[in-house]
Amino acid sequence: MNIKDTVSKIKSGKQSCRELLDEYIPVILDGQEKLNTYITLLLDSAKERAESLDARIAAGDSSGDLLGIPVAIKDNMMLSGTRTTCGSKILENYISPYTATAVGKLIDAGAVIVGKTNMDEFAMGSSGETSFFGPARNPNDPDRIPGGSSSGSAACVADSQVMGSLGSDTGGSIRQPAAMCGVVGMKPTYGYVSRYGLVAFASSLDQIGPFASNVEDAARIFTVIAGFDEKDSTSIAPGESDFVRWVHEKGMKLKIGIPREYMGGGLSGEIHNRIADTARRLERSGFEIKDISLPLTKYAVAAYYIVAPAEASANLARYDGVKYGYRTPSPDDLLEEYKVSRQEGFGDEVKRRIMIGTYALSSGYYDAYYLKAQRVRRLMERDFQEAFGDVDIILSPTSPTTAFKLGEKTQDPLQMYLSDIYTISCNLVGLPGINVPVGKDSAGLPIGAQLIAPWRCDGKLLYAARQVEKIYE
Amino acid sequence: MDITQIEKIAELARLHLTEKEKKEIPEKLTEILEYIDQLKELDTSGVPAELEQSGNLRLAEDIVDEFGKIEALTGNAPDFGDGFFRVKKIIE
Repeated sequence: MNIKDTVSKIKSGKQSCRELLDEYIPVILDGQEKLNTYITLLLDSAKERAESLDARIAAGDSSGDLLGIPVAIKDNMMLSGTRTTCGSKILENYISPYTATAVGKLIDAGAVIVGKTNMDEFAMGSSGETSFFGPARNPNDPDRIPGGSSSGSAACVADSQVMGSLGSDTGGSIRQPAAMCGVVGMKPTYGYVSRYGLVAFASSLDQIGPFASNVEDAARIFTVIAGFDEKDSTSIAPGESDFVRWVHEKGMKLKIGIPREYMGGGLSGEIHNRIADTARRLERSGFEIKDISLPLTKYAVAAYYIVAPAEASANLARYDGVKYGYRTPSPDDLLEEYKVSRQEGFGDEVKRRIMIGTYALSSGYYDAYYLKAQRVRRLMERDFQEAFGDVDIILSPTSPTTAFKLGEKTQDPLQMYLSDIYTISCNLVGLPGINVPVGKDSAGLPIGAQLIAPWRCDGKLLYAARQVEKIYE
Repeated sequence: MDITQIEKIAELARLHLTEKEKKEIPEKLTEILEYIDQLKELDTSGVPAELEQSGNLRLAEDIVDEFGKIEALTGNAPDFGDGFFRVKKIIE
């Protein structure tokens, strides 16, 4: 059952919020044990919350588009009074002093938050394996990674532990795990969802978005969380208040471009064939398919691994063991306190990126690295503008492979980085993108198709996503 | 990247490095930096260093807004007392 029908059932009195939650709790507990999807479970507060919603309904107020819906949030988003660890030892005992705007909007819409999901440490990773709390696992095969960095948020939806979740996407961290787990995951236009209360990683790239088991539910959650927020200086008003209507739109013709750079070397044969097949079926449904080129694609990962670490090294400078976070027990002096607290509190991948970022921003290197990468982003923006002058939507694979085995790429950071090759450009240019499941490969692992829309065309993106979803229903 | 450079960056990043990290980090960082260097192939002269759409950024008004929950903030400090965040003595 989708979110809309579930909410109708609650509103009509056929099921209480508590009854609905009670159906999910055993699935959550079982999933947590098998898949390590959460860093913090919030089942006691969820029960209280469901009961207070039931009391509210009994008193005649049954408002809320997500009334009673069990959801989870990535553990880099604040929920006042709960732990926000960001998957890191350095924030192991950090208690959120306030609630993130996007999370507050979920609550205002009546959602019941059941837990804070596992993730790569500070969202730095593509497999969930850099989490201080151990990796989450893929529900399709627990020996495989669920993708990352929003590993738990993707896995808990795929495992039917919740009806939706929030993740954050800096280089593909929503879309790539959605592809690996076989669910819908959307990265909205940069600025459409407030990041107030989201732990900052790379501020010019970070964006919050929804996971759900279908496009309509994703659109519904997105409608709830989108909107202008004064507290985020990058926030922009979406200019429309209902994205669900796009999912039910009919007959709109689209010209869909397939960038040849996304279909070449390094892409698994089975995924290639599935995307080509998806395109053929869209063509049969009346959409025009066009071969296009995004010539700068091969530079995306390189630009990203300057911009993201540079911004991360600045954002993570705040973790010094003074105002909050882990502090080493007995340092010799203040400088030692900073350095050893950070050495002990951060994991290997986070330290690696802080080092790269500090180097890229250090005196004498700024122009050659950060400034250069920023200029490349502008060139990539022109690439996309040119492509979108000709097509309405871009279709590509989300990831070059299906879910790989735990431990397979942990010793080779560069190979790990390349698993985001198709998702990174969206973040560098601020475009909306979405993963839609397009069946499974011969090993039974989910394959994901990515759609990319022009800037601020999130509605059209959801329309296109629904068309792809229909093919595989 | 040699160990002197690594140590200098670690100092700037306020990161203590263990002996094991000093051995492992240079190789991995060098590999990543070599990969990043392919950007040099691109001619970016005259290209603005910002996206066209980033004109949407705005500055907040410089107005103090009461947060109201001081304990929720100070409660996260490793060592807080008498209204101060306490750290190691810095003056002899």
